[in-house]
Amino acid sequence: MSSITLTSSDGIEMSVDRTTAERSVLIKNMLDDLGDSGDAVPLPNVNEAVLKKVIEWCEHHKNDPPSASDDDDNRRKTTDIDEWDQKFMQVDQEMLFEIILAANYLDIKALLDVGCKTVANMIKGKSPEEIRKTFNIQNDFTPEEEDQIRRENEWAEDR
Amino acid sequence: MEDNAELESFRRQWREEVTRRSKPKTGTPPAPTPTAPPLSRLPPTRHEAAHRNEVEEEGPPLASFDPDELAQQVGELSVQPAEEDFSRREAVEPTSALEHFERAVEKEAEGNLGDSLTHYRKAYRLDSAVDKSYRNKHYSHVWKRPNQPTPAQATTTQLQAAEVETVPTQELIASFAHLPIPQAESIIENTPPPPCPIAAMPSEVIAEILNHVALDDPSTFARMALVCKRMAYHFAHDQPTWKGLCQASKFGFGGMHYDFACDVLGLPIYTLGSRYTPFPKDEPVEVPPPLSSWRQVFQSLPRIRYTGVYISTVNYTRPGATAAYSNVSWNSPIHIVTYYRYLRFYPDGSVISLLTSTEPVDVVPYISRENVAAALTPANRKHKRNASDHGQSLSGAADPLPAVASNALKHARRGRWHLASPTNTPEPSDSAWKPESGATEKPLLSDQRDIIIETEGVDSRYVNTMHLSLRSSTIPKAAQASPAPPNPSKNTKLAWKGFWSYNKISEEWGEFGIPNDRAYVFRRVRGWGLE
Amino acid sequence: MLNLDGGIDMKAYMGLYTAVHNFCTSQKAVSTGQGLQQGQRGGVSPPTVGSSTTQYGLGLTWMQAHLLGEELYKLLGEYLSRHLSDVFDKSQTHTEEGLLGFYIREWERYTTAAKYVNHIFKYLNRHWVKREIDEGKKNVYDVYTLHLVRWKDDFFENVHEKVMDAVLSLIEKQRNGETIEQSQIKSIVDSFVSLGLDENDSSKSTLDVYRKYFQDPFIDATKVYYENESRQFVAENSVVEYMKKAEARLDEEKARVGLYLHPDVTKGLTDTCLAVLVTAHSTLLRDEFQVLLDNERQEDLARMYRLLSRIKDGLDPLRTTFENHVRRAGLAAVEKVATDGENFEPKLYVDALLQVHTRYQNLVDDAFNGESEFVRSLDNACREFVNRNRICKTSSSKSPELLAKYTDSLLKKGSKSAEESELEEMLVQIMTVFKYIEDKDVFQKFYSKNLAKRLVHVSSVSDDAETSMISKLKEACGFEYTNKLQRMFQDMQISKDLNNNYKDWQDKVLDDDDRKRMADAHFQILGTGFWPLNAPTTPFLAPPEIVKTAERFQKFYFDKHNGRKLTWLWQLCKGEIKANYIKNAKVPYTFQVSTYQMGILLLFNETDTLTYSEIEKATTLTNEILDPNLSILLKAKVLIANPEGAKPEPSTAFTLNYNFKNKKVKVNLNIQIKSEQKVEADDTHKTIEEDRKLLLQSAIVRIMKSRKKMKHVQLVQEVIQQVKSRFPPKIPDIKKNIEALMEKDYIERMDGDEISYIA
Repeated sequence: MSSITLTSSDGIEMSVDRTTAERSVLIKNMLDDLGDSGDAVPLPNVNEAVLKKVIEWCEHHKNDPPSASDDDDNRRKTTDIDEWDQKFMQVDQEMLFEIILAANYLDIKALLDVGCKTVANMIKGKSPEEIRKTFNIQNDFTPEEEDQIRRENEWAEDR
Repeated sequence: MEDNAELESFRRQWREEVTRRSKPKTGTPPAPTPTAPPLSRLPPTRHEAAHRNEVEEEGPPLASFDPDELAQQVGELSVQPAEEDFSRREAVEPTSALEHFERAVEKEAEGNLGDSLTHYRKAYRLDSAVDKSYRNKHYSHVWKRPNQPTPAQATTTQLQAAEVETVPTQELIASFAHLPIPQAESIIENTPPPPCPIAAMPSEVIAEILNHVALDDPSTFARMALVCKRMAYHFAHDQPTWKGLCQASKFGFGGMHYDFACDVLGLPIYTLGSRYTPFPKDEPVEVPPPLSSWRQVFQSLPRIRYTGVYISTVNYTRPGATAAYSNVSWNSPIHIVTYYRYLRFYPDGSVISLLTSTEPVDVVPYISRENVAAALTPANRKHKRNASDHGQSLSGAADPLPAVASNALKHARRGRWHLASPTNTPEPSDSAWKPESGATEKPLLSDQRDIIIETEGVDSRYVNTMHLSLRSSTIPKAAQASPAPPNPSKNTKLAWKGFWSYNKISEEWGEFGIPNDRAYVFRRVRGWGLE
Repeated sequence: MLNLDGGIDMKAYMGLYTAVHNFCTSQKAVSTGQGLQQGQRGGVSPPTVGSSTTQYGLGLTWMQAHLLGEELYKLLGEYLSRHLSDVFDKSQTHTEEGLLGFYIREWERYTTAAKYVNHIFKYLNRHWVKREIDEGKKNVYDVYTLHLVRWKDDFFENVHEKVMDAVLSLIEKQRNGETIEQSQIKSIVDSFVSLGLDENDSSKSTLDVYRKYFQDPFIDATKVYYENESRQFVAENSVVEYMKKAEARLDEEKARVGLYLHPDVTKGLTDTCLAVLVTAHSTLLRDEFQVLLDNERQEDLARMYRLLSRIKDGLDPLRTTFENHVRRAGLAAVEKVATDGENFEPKLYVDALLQVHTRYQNLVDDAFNGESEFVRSLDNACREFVNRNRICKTSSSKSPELLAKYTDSLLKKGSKSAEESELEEMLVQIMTVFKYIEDKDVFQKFYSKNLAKRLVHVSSVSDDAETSMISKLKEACGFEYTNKLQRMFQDMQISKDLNNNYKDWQDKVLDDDDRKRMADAHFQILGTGFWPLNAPTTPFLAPPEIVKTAERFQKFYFDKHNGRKLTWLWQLCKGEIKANYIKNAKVPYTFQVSTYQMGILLLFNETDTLTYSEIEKATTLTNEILDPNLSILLKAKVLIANPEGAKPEPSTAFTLNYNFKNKKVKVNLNIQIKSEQKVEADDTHKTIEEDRKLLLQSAIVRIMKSRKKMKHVQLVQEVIQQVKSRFPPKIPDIKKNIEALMEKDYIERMDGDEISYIA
């Protein structure tokens, strides 16, 4: 099995199996287009720490069937995350979002999904104020605006 | 109703007050007897809104305060955790006046006027100004403003604020487009602010996260919209998410039935043909006119909720013992009888219908197919309880059903349901739905909002057919006039259209009279429909 | 884009991708005005995207973030347009094959680049493009498709005519026999096909562009080319040569599709070629058909069939020509037979018919692919010349009569073709002719007469052959047609058993004296209804020996079957007598004689000379029978006339010839009399007329019984329908029979030409 070298934004080289690396559609397309020249693949948007996490995930999932289309059946159990992935996502919030960004950049749909589901689970059942606290978001509404939006959206509460 | 003497004196007081005030001011209340006190209303008293109108037939169940207050109340309550957990809060019996008042509001909301009355009375006895403190507690943000936020009353000093508010909501939200997610400020000055990595996410990722949130529970999505302006924008404009929500089966139209999907006892009907669904996933679908967005589709099209229970509360009065031989007089006892109709829908096309006098707190959390099945076979349980160890362990392990709920659920009827199909497909042949055939030629399910429920009848020879129609709660006029009219959930009420019994053997229809055909109102129940 | 020729390394590739990604995700630019620049610094500033992003980067601060994608998309499209405008400028310097080479080279470069760019712009595809398409925006495509759209709008639209001119001149060269580089055309076709985008769903493709810009001009050019070629060729060559040419061209064009065209063209191309090469010259081809038939040019006929069968209604005129031709051939063959006068062998006639049929059946099978319409034409022609020819001139029943005679000659003992398989084959051929015979009832009459004789005289060549023939007739005409024939066969079997029983009975009953004087006899019992035989035309006093034997059998038979009537058909009986009186013979002669002859000869046991009247009195035979039989005996010199040489007449006396001499020991005197034959044939024809009358009447009654009421015209039509499998009825005959039935009160005439049944 051939392996290829990835270079993180901070210049660290990492060697991974080609199948592992090809969980990233970006890398797969590039290798398909250019062929494997043996050169290191530069990933200017991913730093070492994040890249390590991403590779760890890809290793674990390298034999998964190619991601099914994003139809409802996958989404229905939308916030269900398998156990390994749950553990994998037990990182601080900055890392969590870095992983999501990296998955988005590298085009790894399944990892992006897991990341987003993890964030969605953090939001579940919380009040707006609690959500703000969780993510350190400042309330930028004026009270009037907030009231107006609340009324506008109240129907969706479905009480 | 436990203290008749007290009640008597209270009634006398009420009567005196009524006569003292100008008689024509209130219309004749639709009480059962002309001379009986309008018991279906709230007690009088110091409360400013003593003479409110009779609760509208189609009005919201909470329409007991004056309209202004109501508007605020509706707006405010939504901030609280949306779902009822219907758990007994008896553990904390109200002690203070305010607590009594709160309990009274709660009971009234449930429609249980007898209990509500008791609590109001206690509250006012403890503190004659209790309504004020209630309003201060629950509507302070409105209360503390210079004036009541009734635009009709808007004074010159208020104009500026009103102008700010009168930016149309759509424009307001549009102005939020792609504002950054604001980071929280430093807790201590001169230290770096707490990290806010979510602020660095591109819109595509935010949309992806919100998509997961929305599909899991749209009400969380709604709360998310109140976090910051950027989120409000996403809530209003993420069409793919709303479209997905419409097509999904958990909350959306993918989970609706436009034809019976099971038999009365819940056994699925298999069909080789595909069942109708308004927005199939495997072909291109468009927003049906005149609607312009998938959000509106999700909001306005008839949709049955699986996340709670539909309750119809019926009060009626019954003259007491003395009424038999004398004119109804002030001192003859009048009984308020309250009973409830409950409906719980399931995504597989089955439904549970329950008619009982048991209050929601006692029975709602237990309305489930499993418990109904258990309650309907109580004989086995009881006999087996003493018969064998096996039975005992079984009943011990799987019998968390309180006796009061179990007794109520014995009267539950299993059934099935479907919404009127927007396409004019002929009724399936196995449907018993054909009352008054020949008499009225126009199709009964002519309205898309109509729903048909078939349940077990009194015995296996009968099927009961309920014809209901989805309605939205009316919006109080004052609230409509306000700059941001409340936009309550649509189609959360089920109004009666007809109720029949069908004899399968003689093929005869019999119509049930519904003397107090109060509409069903939806209440969420914690944990339902979210698994 | 251009530098992709030399390949692109990973660094550049990743740089480009990252630049696109960062550009698209740089919504912070709105608030900070810096995010975008940061994003770009991450990139490698590639020649394509880099230049455009930096160029427009400054303007982004005011831009709403979701417009970034749109901007990028727009810039990419503009870049492609510029590139393609350059390509177009360069293309101006090329013509003909050079232009094709240029187009293909640029197309390949462009699509390869498009594949890369599509991946590099994947982030744009995944989000902005997807969203736009989901929201139903027209004119937004994924990046690869955008390349195709731009190519089509900005380059293709300007060059497709010149490119097609080059393609068409290349194809013309090939049609003229030159060798060309086919792969070039194939590449052009592929490119044109790729450019067909479904307006409603960009993920699907259509053939619209290919059809409009390639297929249509190609078909037009093909049409012109072959119009010219065929016009010229026909002028200079024979039709036969032209057909070869046309066929070769059709094959060639079919192969061309497989070589380098899109299969979609097949139908249009074939239709065009056929129209120009065949339809346009179809009159010419058809005019040649008669010539080819006359010369029996089977191969050329087959070619003409193949060509004309591929165009609409191409063969219809040929069928008429063919039918006439076959009929003429059949009539000519019969004419030849008839030149020898009336006295020809039936075999000669039947063989002539068969020969013509066989020749043209083979032609239909080999040249016309056995096509059913031609088979029908053949059948029509055969039916004509079999029923209406020179020999049938006098009577249409001549054909079935001759056919029946020929069949009899085959099935009678002593025919030459003894081989069984050969016989079977000839029977099959007879059925071929039989199929065309219209007067099938005539054949039936003669056939059953002949069969009866063969059975009675035990002269069938074999039982198997007889049953084979009967079953063939049954197959062709049904059970009713052969019912009597089968019953005749059965009677023969029953008679055989009866004779055995009779022998056993005799053994028990007869005493020695009886036995000594008994004649050895064989009896046949023939059912009156089934056999086409008549009672004797003359009274006959049988010799006492015969009478005794006959009476004994009669006794036996009536014991078994009470109430039946037996009629002795003396005219069909025969026997053998031994002439012990002849002196100079070592072995006595045996005469094979008819019963009538036997009656005459046995009279001479008593005396040597008898007068005519004595014989006439003793036998009671009528003169018509007596005279010819006496003539035979005189002619054979068994008897001698007195006066010598006198004819059998009342004045003649007859003396037994003791000096009789013959080469054979067994002498057959039982010869059919000529006049008898003639009378027989006439009788048969007479009975046919009678039978037809009955057949018509029973058909009329049958129809009226079921319909109750009917118009006259309809009735006539129905009768024709029912009867025509036996013979073609003449309408006056039908009318005559309707009248006859009215007289018999079966039916009556109502108002308005209606006829009603009387129950």
